[in-house]
Amino acid sequence: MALSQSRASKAASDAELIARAQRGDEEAFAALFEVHKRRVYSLCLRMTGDTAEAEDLAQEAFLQLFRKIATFRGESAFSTWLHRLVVNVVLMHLRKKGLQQVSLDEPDASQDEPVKREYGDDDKRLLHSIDRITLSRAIEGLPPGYRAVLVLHDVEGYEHNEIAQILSCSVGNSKSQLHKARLKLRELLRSQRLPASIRGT
Amino acid sequence: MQEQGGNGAAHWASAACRDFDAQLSDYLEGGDRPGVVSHAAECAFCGAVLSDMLMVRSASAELADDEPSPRVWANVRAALVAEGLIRPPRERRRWTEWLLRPVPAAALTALILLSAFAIRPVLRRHHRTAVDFAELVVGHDVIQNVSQMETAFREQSADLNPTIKRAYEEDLASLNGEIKECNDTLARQPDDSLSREYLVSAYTEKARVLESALELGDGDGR
Ligand SMILES: [Zn+2]
Repeated sequence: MALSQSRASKAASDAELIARAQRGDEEAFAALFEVHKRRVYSLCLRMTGDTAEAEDLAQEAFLQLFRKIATFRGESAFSTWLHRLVVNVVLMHLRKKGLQQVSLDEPDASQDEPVKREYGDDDKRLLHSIDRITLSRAIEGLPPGYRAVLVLHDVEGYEHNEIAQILSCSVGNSKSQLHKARLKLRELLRSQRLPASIRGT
Repeated sequence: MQEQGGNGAAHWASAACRDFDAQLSDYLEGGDRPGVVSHAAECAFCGAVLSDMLMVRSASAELADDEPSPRVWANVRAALVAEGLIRPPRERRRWTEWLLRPVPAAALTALILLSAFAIRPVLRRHHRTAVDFAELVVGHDVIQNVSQMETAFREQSADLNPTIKRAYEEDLASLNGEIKECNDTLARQPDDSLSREYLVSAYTEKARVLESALELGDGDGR
């Protein structure tokens, strides 16, 4: 092999791993999987809220990626390419399942609620530390369209113009849906808050 | 209808609260909306909304990644092997390593007999040069095709990602070295049947490498 074992183990850059995977090198495939598996799986998990579904989708995404790897030329960042592919796999899956609201240009009117200002001292208390299990559960409780945009923007760090491309919606729509998603998430967190996850003011 | 919540138990949205709602999204997107902060400071309910939104945003950003179960890689790997995307290591082994591999005695004898009866007379009769050995062993068409692929690769390689290009060039240089070594050995020892095998193997691998590189060159850039 032109690329020696010692170099292989040190090959940090995706580009080298990609070039080797393109030539059928198992070690390169395994290394690419290792580098990206957590982020890919977590994205699937956050978007579906189901571990078994998330594993199936992560598997599907990696397979599609590795089948297409010969066409990757390194002009865009590999991780961006991968994540777009993952999001597409997940959205395709959600649409197949018949879940509504994945397309942000057809928002559910019932979701357009004003910020609630209710009675009672508890209602003006701040949310304090949010543990990750509570937050993950609340994100899973969001409608799919809200969940997609919130996961992409707030969890994965995509910009609105990228989300607009991925979800085929306008930038303005991505922004407004994100805002509604955060408000909805806040509402879910406040309704399911636990003694350990919140302290009164 | 109570206009301002303040410290009271009940609260209805005031005009200022509605302005706050209208501007909150822009403020969270980084827009300059001083009214949001000033209203949040004087209205307990809107103050809680703003603090909660900031907390939700930062907690989401810090959400740690989860680990998939090992079955994901096991399934991916099995599919890659089944589809031929992962190639068995034997096919990719350098021929010098291959040379050191124990060869079953029967196979070796068969190769020696084959070369003694079939190859030697041909080689002796034509007094082949090094290049001709390759043609004789691998076939004229194969050499022609691989040569054309290599020319095409050299022409297209400027468009490739420099790191990928370098990796391909290193592989090709290594394979060309193997091919030369085989030809040199055959020039000295025309009967060396193992060198013939390695020559075929090197050309096969070179064709694969070039095929992969050219596919890359033809790709859509992603
Ligand atoms: Zn207010």
